[in-house]
Amino acid sequence: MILSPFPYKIFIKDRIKPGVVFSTPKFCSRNADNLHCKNFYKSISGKTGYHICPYGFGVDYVQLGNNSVIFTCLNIEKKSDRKKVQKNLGKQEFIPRLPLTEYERIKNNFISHILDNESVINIEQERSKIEIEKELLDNTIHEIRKLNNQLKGYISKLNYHTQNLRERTDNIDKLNLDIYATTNLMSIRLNTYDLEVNPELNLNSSPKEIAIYKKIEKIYKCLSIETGKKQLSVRLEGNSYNSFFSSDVIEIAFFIILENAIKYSPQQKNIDIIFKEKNDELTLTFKNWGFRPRENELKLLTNRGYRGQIVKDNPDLEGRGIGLHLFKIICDTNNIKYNIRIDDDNYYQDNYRFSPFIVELYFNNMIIGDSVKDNTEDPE
Amino acid sequence: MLIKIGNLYTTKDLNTPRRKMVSAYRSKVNVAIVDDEEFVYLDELRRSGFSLVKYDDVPDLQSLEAYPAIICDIKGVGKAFKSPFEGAYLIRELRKKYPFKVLAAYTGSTYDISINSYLEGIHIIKKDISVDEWCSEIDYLIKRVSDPKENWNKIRDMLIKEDVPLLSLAKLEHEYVNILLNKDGNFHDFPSSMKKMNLSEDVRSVIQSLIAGLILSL
Repeated sequence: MILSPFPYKIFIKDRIKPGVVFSTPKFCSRNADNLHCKNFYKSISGKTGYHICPYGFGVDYVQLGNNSVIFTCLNIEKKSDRKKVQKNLGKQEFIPRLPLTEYERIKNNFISHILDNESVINIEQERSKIEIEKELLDNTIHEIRKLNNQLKGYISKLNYHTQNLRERTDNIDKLNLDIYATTNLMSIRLNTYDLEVNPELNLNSSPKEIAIYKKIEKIYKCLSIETGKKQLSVRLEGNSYNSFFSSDVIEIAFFIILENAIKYSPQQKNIDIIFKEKNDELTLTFKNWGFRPRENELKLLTNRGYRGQIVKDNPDLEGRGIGLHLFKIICDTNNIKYNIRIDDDNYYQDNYRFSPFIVELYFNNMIIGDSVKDNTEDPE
Repeated sequence: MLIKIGNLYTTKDLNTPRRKMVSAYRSKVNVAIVDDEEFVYLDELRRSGFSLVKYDDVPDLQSLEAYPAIICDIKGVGKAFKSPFEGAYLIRELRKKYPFKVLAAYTGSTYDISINSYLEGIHIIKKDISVDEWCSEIDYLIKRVSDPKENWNKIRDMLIKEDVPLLSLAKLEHEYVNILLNKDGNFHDFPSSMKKMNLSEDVRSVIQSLIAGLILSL
């Protein structure tokens, strides 16, 4: 923050930031994405001095050495259109109309302070750049989700129609499933991004009854193309009929474990997912062959950014060491106990030592029975 | 028939097998969806038995008064309210005006931290879920609309805020559970002791509207 007294922008594409003395009028916040507004800022790019925006507010483009600051939303005598400003502010808001000399005095005080502390504006410039890039990324992700949603809608319709096809082939069914798996995979990846960027909202979404077996089946199907590429065999053993009261992000935890299992497993091996349910308790075990980490590394795997040495040394295995950290957070916030361990078995391949890598999840207080009732039929 | 002598019923008594059998039915709870774009599963969900009404946007909160469950998009809706938070603002206002409605945010923007405070405690439905997942999400909302325990908790919280004495509260809870267990959910005369409890007019009308919703959906 550069503590400007007036609302300001560092770049033309920037959002207007409120000043410490004069905040951004609601009218200007509402119209920030308005085309007239955007075009106006484009038109004054690089043009220092005073301007009047299409809504009557004064804008002062100031060059400070290599940097620039655009003071905006100004209500200044001779530099703003008084009638338009009054009309657009409405009765609810008030911005005092400053004499030009007074505005210049406040501005010059601020500028001399900024010139004495040039690093402040450099930091602000970097921050603004990041904000612009973040907004672009957010819009892109929102668009991807929208398109993914449309794609899922088409698949659902396609599925409905292919079911009635006379010459329906296994190939069509498989393609349909593969597209469906890919769209689900996209959803989970986007959900993981959301969780990483905004854990507060995503972790605290209201919990509900979740059928664990069904979730695992979904994840397994999502990753079926990946397992196929490495000719891995995913085996589901046992069953679970009860549900667990948890937030939806639990799906991401399962995804992380299974995706890791696929990523680190040698080709043509098995990945076992074992369900052991008794009364209101479920133990879910994921077991796959993977690079054997050092004993002291096991406890560190859930630390943010931590990657085992063998994995780090292998250029083919990209990663940021975030997955198991997110897994830990999800388990902790949903009261799921877990244990990560390695078995004693081992074998060597390409000079690497592989061992069974085991992740056990313990679900207590499962909701027993028919609580997730199919309520499509009305008995009356 | 379940009876309790010398004790008052509490909502814990609703944990009986018979109660579990009574659940809401998809067609009986009207659900509003507010989304400025095409809602791709509308026909399929209707075919699955849900009673859904889709709005591109709403001019005011009253437009959604008739719906016990509302699913609201975040971007591109709530334009009449002129808030930069759009649908998130609409949801917050709906929650203020209709605290007993079950609300869900339907969004592809859960990365956006600026909406967090608006959606605190609100159920979130991700924008690109499958039709199966939509079914379970709406089932979940319907279940909440008609869940006698959740509804009692809402009534209780409101009565506590209104400083209703705890003894009166316990009696009211007993009467509520008794109607569900022994009187086939007939809330026609509920709460019978209302006059004695000095409830304000506002509180009475909210209880009655909530109870009306319960009768409808059970």
